[in-house]
Amino acid sequence: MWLVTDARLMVIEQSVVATGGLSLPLAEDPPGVRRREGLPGDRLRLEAFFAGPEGPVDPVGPPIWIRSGFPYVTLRFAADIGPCGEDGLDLALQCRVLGDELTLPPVPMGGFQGRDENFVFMFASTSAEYDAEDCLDFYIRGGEGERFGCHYTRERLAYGPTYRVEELAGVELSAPESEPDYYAESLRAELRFSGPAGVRTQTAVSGEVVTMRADERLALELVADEEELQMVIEERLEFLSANFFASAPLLPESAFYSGSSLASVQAPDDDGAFLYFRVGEEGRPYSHHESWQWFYLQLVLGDPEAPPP
Amino acid sequence: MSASLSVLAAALLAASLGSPLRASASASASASAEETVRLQGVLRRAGDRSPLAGVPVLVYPAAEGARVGEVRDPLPATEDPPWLRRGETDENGGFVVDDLPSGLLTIEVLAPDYARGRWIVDGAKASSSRRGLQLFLRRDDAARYRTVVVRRRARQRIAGPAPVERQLSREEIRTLPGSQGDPLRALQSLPGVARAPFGAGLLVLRGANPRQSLVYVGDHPVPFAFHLSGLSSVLPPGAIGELTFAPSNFAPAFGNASGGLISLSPRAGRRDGYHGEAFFDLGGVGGLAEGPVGKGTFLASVRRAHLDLPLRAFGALNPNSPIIYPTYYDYQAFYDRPLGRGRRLHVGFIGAGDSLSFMSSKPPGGDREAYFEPRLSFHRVDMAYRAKLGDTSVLLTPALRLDQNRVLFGESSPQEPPEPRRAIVSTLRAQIDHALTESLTLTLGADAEIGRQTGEVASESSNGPDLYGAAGTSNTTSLSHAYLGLYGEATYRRRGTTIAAGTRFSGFVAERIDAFAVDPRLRLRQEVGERWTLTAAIGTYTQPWIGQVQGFSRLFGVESQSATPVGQLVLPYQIRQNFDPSLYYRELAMRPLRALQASAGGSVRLAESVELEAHGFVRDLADPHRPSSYLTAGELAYGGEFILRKRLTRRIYGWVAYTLMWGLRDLMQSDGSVRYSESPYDQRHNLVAVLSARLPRGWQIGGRFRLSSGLPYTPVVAAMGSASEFYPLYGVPLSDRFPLFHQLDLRVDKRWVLRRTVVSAYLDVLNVYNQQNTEAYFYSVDFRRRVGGLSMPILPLFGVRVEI
Repeated sequence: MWLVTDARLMVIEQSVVATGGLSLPLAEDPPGVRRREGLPGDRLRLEAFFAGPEGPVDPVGPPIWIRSGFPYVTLRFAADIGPCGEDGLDLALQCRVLGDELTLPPVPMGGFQGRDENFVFMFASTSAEYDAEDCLDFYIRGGEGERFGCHYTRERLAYGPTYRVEELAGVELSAPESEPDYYAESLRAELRFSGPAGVRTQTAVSGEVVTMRADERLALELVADEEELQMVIEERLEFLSANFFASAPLLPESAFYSGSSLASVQAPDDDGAFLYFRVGEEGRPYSHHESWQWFYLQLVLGDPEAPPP
Repeated sequence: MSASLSVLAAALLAASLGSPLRASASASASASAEETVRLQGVLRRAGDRSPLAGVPVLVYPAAEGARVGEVRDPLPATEDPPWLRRGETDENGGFVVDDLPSGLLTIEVLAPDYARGRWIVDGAKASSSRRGLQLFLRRDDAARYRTVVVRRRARQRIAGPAPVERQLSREEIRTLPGSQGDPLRALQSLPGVARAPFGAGLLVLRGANPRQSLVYVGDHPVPFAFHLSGLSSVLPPGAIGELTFAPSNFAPAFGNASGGLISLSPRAGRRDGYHGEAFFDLGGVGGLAEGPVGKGTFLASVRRAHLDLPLRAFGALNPNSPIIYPTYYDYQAFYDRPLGRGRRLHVGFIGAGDSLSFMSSKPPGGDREAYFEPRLSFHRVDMAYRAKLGDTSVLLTPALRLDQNRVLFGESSPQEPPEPRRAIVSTLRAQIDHALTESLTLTLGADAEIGRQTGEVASESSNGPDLYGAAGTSNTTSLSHAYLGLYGEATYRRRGTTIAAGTRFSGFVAERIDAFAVDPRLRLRQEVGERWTLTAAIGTYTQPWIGQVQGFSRLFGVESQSATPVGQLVLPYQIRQNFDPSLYYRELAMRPLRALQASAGGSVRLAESVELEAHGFVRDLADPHRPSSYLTAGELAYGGEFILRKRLTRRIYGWVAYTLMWGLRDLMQSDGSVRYSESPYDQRHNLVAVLSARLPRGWQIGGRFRLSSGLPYTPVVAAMGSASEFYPLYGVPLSDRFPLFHQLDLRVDKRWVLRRTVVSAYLDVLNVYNQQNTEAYFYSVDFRRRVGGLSMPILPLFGVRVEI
């Protein structure tokens, strides 16, 4: 479990908001779910989630997204990076995404081999001293001075399902037919508090404020409806796994956590604490990219049975 | 009752003992007219048993009541003896004194620098003994220490008359505080040698990259001179006859280096009997044996380190800090034989191997893991034939060497270790020196190095290196090279003026690529008056350089951090650059680096054995054939060295040395201009003060204080990644400096000189006040926080040596 002591980037969520000609229409998806991966021509929305010791953090201005065919940004000046075309068919290897939506470019013949991937870079600032443009400039040209208020990351663009990508790339199929990957919209935390006053349970969704007593211990498990965890291969379900973060040290050394559950969380002090989760779905061995889902809870001290003020 | 009985017994005993003496005394007086005895024997130095030649031996009657045996701490006689006979030891230490009366005799030997020796012998008994007397004379404690090996005139002088050819006497090497008797570590206390990160075995001479300087053992270079721990050179002090060091401007006879030169000469074994030593210290355990074999001599030595033992103990007490365990071995075997008429033959086998385990901190309930372990080794056989025929000297010497480098990673590391690098190298030198006149000597020679290495070559893909440092493609391949040199020099010596002018022609060939260089070199020396000496030198020094092993090391990647359980460790650039075992090339090309070196200075003798020297130097390294994508166009180093030195005479030696230098490199900017920035070996100040004093009764104490500026490093200014996986983003390369380094070492020695052995023991405490110097930084997972670490702890090292 990680202790979050400064603002940091936690999760980038990529989701398809409109399809191009190659994907199944969005209307055919189950209601209310977001598709996690797309095919060339699809429009992908990019969202970045930051968190700090005081709770989730918004960056100073919207992040800058740059799509790149290289694993690094090669141009020497930010001004040289032109905007990405609407149809994803620009010739430039690097382009700046307008807003937070980009169109997925074509899959190269032969597929994504070695390091020649399609990437998206994110540049954002959580410090009042500089903004995202300053951070982009600093990344490209280097310079003196610390910039830990800048956040940089590089992710692979979420192409999928993999068997369709392989078809488009003209390579031999190795992945089984499958639906596109979805986010688990029913993702929730099953909480179990135990203490001298007894045991109680609660279910919480992302962003909820959870009250616990100072002498209680919390065990939690992230769950999602079974329908949402898709059958992938040979009738095995996907399952959830998570990385856990907290804004205060809440776990004793001997705490046990694995997969999607966490036990022996202690109560926070008067200031409360946040629990952050990067939730992933395991069981998809042929998935080309990694994408996580954002989930967090706020813990406060108090009497859970007292009526709200 | 019993008391009185014992008194009576004692009285009877005394009476019985006393009487024979008196009887013999009178007997000797009466017998003097009748029988004579002859005393003969061998006089040797106590401890190393060297025979003492040309020493007068006096014989006179023993005093009343004297007892047979050696007289301890004898005082000079207060009155003349009734008679005195005199003999002298010959070249083998033997002496004969005839015509002596039998009875108790005193033998007295008095030699300069030795304590007075006096023995009482029974003339009749000694005369009849077949072996003769074996007498041992002890050195006077305050005597000047003389080295055992006689310096050979025909030995190559590496810098010649040029300013800085520093030497260390064997006594200084043996007892210098902070170096445990190691010659190259003692060298690191001299000016002109920078302090390397971690105190590692990197010899940075006047700001030159360690790969630009050469270390010779005997007549051929070795691939590395230090064991990885930096605590020991690859030869133990007992196997070395001489250490000479030229930080720049060495003779035209040497090439393939653009920095400085260090020469360790192997010692020839002694002919006067078999000798040996066994030594043990926390740096290693080993032994040495030498002696005559046929008409020649041999010397063989082997050593194995186990410094990890006390470090493991320290590590057990400090489980939360990572630690480094060095282990190494080395061996040497030399055979030297004079062939008569001025000719000599030398055959040598040397080898050394090293591994340095970087251990993580101990997790609860688990063991430390070696997350990074570099290993090196080399083995060499060489032969040298020297002949002096009238005015001409000839040297012919071939050698063959095998090298290997590899790196291993811990089990939990995701990285695959690279293929080991192996090389087979053959070197050869042939040289003639001829004295044309009394003042003019001409030297002509040729040397060659031919080799082949195999390893993992990682070449860039057309896209350029990955952000995370993995190279485009990597495969095992081989690279051959041949370097040839032809040199000539004329040396003129007359009346305090020495001028040496020469040129070296070099050809370098590697994989069908070749280069050719002409290096003129001039060295001058002028004695002014009785006490002053001025020197100056200028010359060019060309070195073949293969590929590019900077920045994108296959081993360390563009980002050079490694995740350790303690935090992200970013090893300093100077370590990354010098310990990568893979051959990483941007292109398989070889190009010459050319340095212009100029040096000038002077020395003045302030008092007997006290000298003050000041030298200035400039070294301008150009890389004109570099590919256009390279950023570094050349290097410039300049500065001054000052040393006030008291050489060892009777009791004290020491020096205060200060080096002030600037090391810059030219960085090409994106707009085509050139900017000077610090080179990785830019160490602005380096101060070393050493003092060692011999005390009575075989004690010696000493201390060394060192203060040096931190080397530049590249700071981490941001991090890239999300949530739990981050990679560092670096600021301007080498724009920050490690903090000031300072350390005090203290040492105490004790020496027991027995008749046939000498036992020495020392305690050398490094970093006496446990200064936590920063050698590298550990970062938190997101690189925002860092802590300086990997400093040498306070380290008491003791050693024992037994010589026979």
